[in-house]
Amino acid sequence: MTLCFKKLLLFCVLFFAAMPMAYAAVLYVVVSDNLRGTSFSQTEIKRIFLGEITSIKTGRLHLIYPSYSSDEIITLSKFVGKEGSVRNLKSYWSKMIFTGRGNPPDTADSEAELKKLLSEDNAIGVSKQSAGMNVVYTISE
Amino acid sequence: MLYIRSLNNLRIIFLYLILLLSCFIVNARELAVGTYNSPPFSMQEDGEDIGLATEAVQDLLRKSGISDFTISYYPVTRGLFELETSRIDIYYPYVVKFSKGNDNFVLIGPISRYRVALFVRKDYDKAVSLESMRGLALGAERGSIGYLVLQSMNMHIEEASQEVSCLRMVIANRVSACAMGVLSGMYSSAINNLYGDLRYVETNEYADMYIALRPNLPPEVIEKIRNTFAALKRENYFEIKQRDYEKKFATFIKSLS
Repeated sequence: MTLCFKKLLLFCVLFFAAMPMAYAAVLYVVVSDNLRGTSFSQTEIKRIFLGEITSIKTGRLHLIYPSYSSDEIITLSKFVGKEGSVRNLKSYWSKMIFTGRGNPPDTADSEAELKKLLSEDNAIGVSKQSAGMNVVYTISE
Repeated sequence: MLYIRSLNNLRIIFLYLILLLSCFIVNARELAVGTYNSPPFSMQEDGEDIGLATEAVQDLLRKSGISDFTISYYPVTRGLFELETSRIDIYYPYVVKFSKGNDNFVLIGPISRYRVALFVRKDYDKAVSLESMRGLALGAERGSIGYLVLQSMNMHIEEASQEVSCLRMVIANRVSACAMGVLSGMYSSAINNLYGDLRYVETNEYADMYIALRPNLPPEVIEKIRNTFAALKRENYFEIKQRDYEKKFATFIKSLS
């Protein structure tokens, strides 16, 4: 009886420990063809998605965000240090826009729209999929 | 005897020095500026004080040679009380149209105009106006300009603690409409993901926004601010600022929708 209870307890512990891993979101930072193979550090990626780095050697970056009602935006918000809050991310961009420090990113509501926007040079965005994309960085929670 | 006299003199000099020093401290203390959250006029976003009225006040003070000031946030009634009791020196944006007439502040402005709108659900199919909605429950944030408009017209008001909760009351069908500023309502709905569910109709009600100074502020400080305001007004600074902000506002709303 005791052994059975211990096994059950162990199962529960392992099950709940594994739960966050099962739900851990992975996002791929994807770029347009002309930026394929370019390496970016984590800090650079963060600064790009916060609109702090707006251009690189090849020209002005075209920043693409996922829709503000998507799951991806929550992962992105966590990654850039906005606590996974969409409100915080919007608040940040309102500050950037109203103080004239930055232009807002474009938003892609679907993978198809993202691919279309990535057909332009110097475009950078995030996707849940990596297949058929130029992945330059992987964001995992 | 001589010793006592010199001691007395020393005491007088000492007291005089303390008096001089305290005057200096009083004059040198930073200006306490109060405001309330009223986006896009005044708001704190990402830890920074921004907004159309905030920028105007910051520019006005700096151009008046006042760089030592802090901005704190108070609800409207509390802010006005703080100003009345001289705990703060300046409060903005101050709306003259709806003041009870017993305020004794020095007003500088107008610095901007606040147009009142009624926000309803997108699928609301009845007429939207203050007249046609008489008798229906309308929401407004307590103390806000929208609230004061409804109050002045003896409308049925459901109080909301915040602008966003007022908009949520509309979505939940608890009220037929929410009365608030056009820009404020658009901002609140956009930043809280409600923009797609709502629409708004402008009313003819508006209020001019001023900066209120406590009357016992040193006259030279009041004069400096008044003169700077006049100079900025001549340059159309406030109109240019308003237009610039409206452009940025449209960019912001578009980026979120």
